[in-house]
Amino acid sequence: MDTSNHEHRRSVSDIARKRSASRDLIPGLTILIVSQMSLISLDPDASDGALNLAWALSPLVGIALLVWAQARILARSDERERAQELSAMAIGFAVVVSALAAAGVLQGADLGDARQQMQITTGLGIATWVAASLVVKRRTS
Amino acid sequence: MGRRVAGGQATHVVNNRLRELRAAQRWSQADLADRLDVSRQTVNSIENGRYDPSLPLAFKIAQVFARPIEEIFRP
Repeated sequence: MDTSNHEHRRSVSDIARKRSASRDLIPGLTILIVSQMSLISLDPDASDGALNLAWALSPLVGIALLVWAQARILARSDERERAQELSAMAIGFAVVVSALAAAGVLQGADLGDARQQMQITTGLGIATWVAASLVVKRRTS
Repeated sequence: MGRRVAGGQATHVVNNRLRELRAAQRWSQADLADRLDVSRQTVNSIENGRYDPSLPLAFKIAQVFARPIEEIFRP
């Protein structure tokens, strides 16, 4: 049996965790992508009936499922992975809060489009989370 | 005292005998990871001194190797 430091075979629990993570992420990602694509291409009028309103809000279902999937991934991860992920999330959260505060100030001064600022805040938060995750993993792995 | 291991540019002090004990059992990192229910990367990080395990995990490691915790981890 290979006992060298350089063997990169994943453990059985690694493989099981990866598979479960994929299984959990697929429904949320699918709903989010399909609903966003349909909204972008067909642009329904949310004020025109309950069905259109539900359609306009449908990405929220995908987002809720992704949050649920992320919570399950965190619950399954081991202590080192959880510490890394929570550190990255904390940095992402700090950036989101700062961006929201900046957007609030801009809106108070009637500057810029609120929808665009929310989109930028979301994108910035996710990008920071991913970048922080990579940096933290590199430092402690 | 622990030995020093260079990882990239950083140098880490290894204050445990995990690699030595694992090698004695002829286990791979993945084998030990399965016994501890952690990722292989976590075993690697502990062996290289990049991560200090929590007390519950340290006790589990001691249990897996059937040795007192102070024989595996040094201050």
